[in-house]
Amino acid sequence: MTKSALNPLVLGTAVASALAMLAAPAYALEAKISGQVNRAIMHADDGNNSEIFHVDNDNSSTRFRFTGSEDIGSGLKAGIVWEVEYQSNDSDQVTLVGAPGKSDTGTTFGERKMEVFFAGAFGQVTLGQGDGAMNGGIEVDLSGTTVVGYAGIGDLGGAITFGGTAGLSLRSVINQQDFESRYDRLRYDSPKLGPVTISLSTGTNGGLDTEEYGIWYSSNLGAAGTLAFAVGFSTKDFSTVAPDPRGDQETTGGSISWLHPSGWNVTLATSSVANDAGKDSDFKYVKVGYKTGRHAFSADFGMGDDQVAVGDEAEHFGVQYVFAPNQAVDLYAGYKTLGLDRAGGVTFDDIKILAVGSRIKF
Amino acid sequence: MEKAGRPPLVGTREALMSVLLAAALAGCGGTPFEYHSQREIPEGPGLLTGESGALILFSDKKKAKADPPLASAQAVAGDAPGAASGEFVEFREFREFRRWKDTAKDTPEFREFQDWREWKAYRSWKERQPK
Repeated sequence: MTKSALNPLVLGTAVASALAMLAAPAYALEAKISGQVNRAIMHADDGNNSEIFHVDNDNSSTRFRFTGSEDIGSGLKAGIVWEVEYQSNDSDQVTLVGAPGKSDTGTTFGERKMEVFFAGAFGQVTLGQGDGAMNGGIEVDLSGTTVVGYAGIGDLGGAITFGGTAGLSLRSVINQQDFESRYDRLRYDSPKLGPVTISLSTGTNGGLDTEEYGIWYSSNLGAAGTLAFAVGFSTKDFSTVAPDPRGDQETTGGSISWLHPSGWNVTLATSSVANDAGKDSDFKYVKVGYKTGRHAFSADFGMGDDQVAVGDEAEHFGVQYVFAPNQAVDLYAGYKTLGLDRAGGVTFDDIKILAVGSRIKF
Repeated sequence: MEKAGRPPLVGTREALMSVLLAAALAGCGGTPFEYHSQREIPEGPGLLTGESGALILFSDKKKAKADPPLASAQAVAGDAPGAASGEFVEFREFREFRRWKDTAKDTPEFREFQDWREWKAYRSWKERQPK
C-alpha cells in the first residue's frame, strides 16, 4: 500500500462513494400512519320497539393503519399494510332484542389487513390477511354518499331483526353478497391494461379454501364523465375440512357506477350465490345521485331474494345526504325503510332507520 | 331457480352484465383513473396530519431530493464548502424544479407557471422594442 492511498481526500471520496452507492436503494423508504373516526347517532324502529344508539358506522368503520414501502431496486417496490378497526358499539351489531342496555355491544378490535406486497412492471403480488381479489366488487359507487348508504345495506342496523325473530336480521335477508371479503390469501393484480386490472386470489377464509377472479375497470371518459365497474366470480369450499352438503359455494356478480360531469350519477349492482345444498339467492341494487360542490345527495333501492329461505323477498328504500366541508371531514344523514315478505304470505312490520353522523380522517 | 312472487324490476343481472360489457368496449378510449372505494380511509389531507394525509414516521424521499449521491460524496470528501456554495444550491433547486415539472403537468399550478413564463417573455420583448 503506498502512502498516497492514505490521502484523506482520496480515502474520504472512496468511502463516500461506497456509502452513496449503498444508500441509493433506500432513498424511497417511507413509513406512515393514518386513520379515521366515524361516529353516528342511529335511531331504529322495528314496529314494536325503537331505540337511539350511539354507534361506530360500519359503512366505513373507525380504523387506523401503518403503511410502509421502499424501492428495492430493479424497478421493484416492497411494502407492508397493517390496518385494524377499533369500534365501540358497531352499527351492524346493535339490536332491539333483549333487555335495555343490551344494545351496547361494547368495543371490538378487529383485523382488516396485515399484508406484504411486491410491485413492479408485472403488477402486484400481495401476501397475507387482506382484501380478496373481488372484495368490494358489488360495492363500486361514485355517488359520494357511500359513508351513509351503499349496497351494503346491513352495515347500518344489520343485526336488527324483523318482528324480533331470531335469524331474520336485516343483514341476513338483504345482504349484498360481496364475494369473500378479507382473508388470508395470495393475491395477484395485473398492471393496468388501459383502464382494466385483472385480479386473482386464493387462500383460506374461515378455514375454507377460497378463490376469486375478476376484473376492475375505472376510466375517465372526458365529457362523458367517469365510469367504474367490477365483475367477478368466487368459490368457497365448505367441504374443506369435513363433508358439508353445501359443497362449493359460488358467487357471481358485479357493480357499475357512472358519474356525469353535471354531477348526476347512477349505480347498479347485482350478485347471486348458489351452492350444492340448493341455495340460490339474489341481490339487486340501484342508486341515483347528484353531486354539487361539497354536497352529495342520493336515493337507493335494493332487493334481496331467497337469502334466508326460498320465498323470502326483502326490499330496501333509502335516501342519503353528505356534506364535505373539506377533504378530511364528512357530515352525513340517511334514512331507510326495509320490508320483508315470506312464503305463505307471512309479513312483518317495516324496519326504519335514521342515522346522522360524521367521519373525520385524522 | 325461477323466482316467484316479485314483479320483475328488470332482468337486472343480465342487464348489468350487458352494461358492463358495453361499457368495457365503449370505455377503452378513456384515460385510466384510480378508483378509490369511499369505504376506505379517504385520500387527501387529514385533520391532524395536514396535506400529507398521514403522519410520516420515516421518509428518505426528501433526503433523496436534498442530498443527491454526488453531493454526499463531495461533502464527506472534504468538499463541503463547495456543496454549500450558491452554485450547488442552484443545482439542487434546478433538480427540484425538474422533478416538479415532470409530475405537475396538467395541474392548475403548472398552467399558471406557463402563463407567468409567457408574461415574462412578453415583458422582455416589450422592453427591447425601440421607444
